[in-house]
Amino acid sequence: MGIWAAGVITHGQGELSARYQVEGPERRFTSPIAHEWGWVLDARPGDLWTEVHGRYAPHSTRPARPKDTPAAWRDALDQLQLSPRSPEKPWAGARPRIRFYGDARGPTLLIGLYGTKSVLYDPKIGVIVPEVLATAQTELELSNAREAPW
Amino acid sequence: MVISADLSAQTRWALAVLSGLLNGIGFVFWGPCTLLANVPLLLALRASGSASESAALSAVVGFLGGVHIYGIVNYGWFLLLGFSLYTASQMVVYGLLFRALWGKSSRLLDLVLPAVIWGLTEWMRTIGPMSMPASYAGNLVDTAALTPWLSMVPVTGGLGLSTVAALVQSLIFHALVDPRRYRIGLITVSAGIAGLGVWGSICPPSLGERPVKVAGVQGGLANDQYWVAEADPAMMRQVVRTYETLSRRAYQEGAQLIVWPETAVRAPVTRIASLKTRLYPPKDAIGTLIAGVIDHNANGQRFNAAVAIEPGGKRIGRYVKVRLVPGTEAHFTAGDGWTPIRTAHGSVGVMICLESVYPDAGRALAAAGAELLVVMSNDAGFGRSPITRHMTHRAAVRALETGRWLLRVGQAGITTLIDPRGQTTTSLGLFEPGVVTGTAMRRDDKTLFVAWGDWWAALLLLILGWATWARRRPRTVAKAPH
Repeated sequence: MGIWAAGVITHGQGELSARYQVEGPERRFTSPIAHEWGWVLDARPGDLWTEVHGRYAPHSTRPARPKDTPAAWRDALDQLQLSPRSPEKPWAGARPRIRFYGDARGPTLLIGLYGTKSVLYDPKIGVIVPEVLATAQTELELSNAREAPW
Repeated sequence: MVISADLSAQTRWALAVLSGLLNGIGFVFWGPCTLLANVPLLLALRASGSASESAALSAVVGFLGGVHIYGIVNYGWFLLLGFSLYTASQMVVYGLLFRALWGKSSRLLDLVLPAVIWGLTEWMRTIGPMSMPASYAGNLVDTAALTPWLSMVPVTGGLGLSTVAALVQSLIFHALVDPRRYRIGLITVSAGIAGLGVWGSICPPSLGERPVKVAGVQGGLANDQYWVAEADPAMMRQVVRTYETLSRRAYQEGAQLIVWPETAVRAPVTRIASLKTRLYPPKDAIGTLIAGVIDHNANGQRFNAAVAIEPGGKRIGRYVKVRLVPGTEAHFTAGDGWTPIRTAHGSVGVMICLESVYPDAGRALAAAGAELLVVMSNDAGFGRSPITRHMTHRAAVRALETGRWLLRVGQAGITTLIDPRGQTTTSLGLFEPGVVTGTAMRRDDKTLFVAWGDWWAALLLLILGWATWARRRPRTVAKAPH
């Protein structure tokens, strides 16, 4: 009985906790995973410029990708008419922000809030809910950004 | 081989454990195991020294059988524990009734008693909010060799098939304990069961004659994707696009009824014009969409609902889930009855998720004029555990009972079209996005089960009463075959 119970429990845990992939009509989804920074909701590494364009200006022509400096991004975001500006208040989730860290780590995108936690797109990881939001050297708030909810 | 009634306590407990495991295996891994499952328990009960021991042996069987339904763990350990204790309590009733009545009247009653008691305990599991997917009929409905016996289900309900399975267990038990004493009964009952199979082979249920082309849209999405969609609009857009792409495929293929699973798109589909335009059947489509959505009313009440939409977007009907999952769906308001949705392509009876476990829902819908049945479900929370497969089997039992074609559409799967003989014609597995299409037949006749309801349970109750009555009459008391 002990052997059977152990077998069923192992089998069951395997079935219930196994990570899975869903091959959707457009792309593959992999179940969320724990990362040292927080929960990776959607493991989807990619390009930040493509992500910003796809979310906030999908119907406009995409300009060339800017260099990873605040000034270059400000110009490029202006071309998408997203009205980038330096935020006056701390992040509260109202408007998305591009964050620059001043080190080898490239810029990331603060998308919004999930409950009280921030939702971040990091091009090296995908969509993540970080436990702690790393301090940014510079932020650009996309004051004219509107993301379609569906 | 004759097994003695003089079994050691250790053997009795080992037999009970074996029975629990066989019941679990029958549910989870291999349905035909069901035909043996309670035989070891019956041997242990026969040798049991007291009523309390009989109750304890039976409880072990129920508990062990129950824990095999581990797929519900994702909804909370307490649920698995509660369910296992519940099945244990059902088996205690089984064990105590067997102990009280077996060997105390005629040999024929002895033979049928385990089946009668099992049938009644299984029927009890369809009453009240604790009902969970576990029935012998559900275990066996996909066993090809038993197909002829499925023909009895439109007459007796799934309970009849479960009773026959328990009767087979009883035959094996009696053949093991005293084949000479029960010889005539064993031959007679075995011949009866064989005859039932022959009858079923000759007279399978009718498939119907009025075709309707149906399509089940399976997003194949994991529950995590809906969770992520709450945090990230990009995922919500992906969910919507998935259903937009797949639904358009179904419209273009000329399906007359297109069915989404339960709460398929958790955006306000019924209230936002742009979503309607993208998701509803266009004017030039021929099919009616039956969409699983979260619907609202002006008072802010939320409903787990199926709404029917004609080409061009006109809403023509709604069904609201009547039997909500306790706790998990407390934020929804329940519907007030099982009423089919009338469409240009027939009257459609919708059951949502757990409702398909209960025989009364399908029966009420067929009695109210449903010409085909739809089960929309979201079983993603069960992961790849066998519960989804068993839920699909239970849907097949509903198709058999009502004599209706049934399209089961699962959010993550399983989506399949089931005919009135309980056979699946086409299907899509777990976590596979796609469209299942097929031709169903509309039927409006009423099976005996639909017309008479729980008559089989009433018959079992009568036999149990007879066994109880016969036990008290000295003239009919037979010596126990120990």
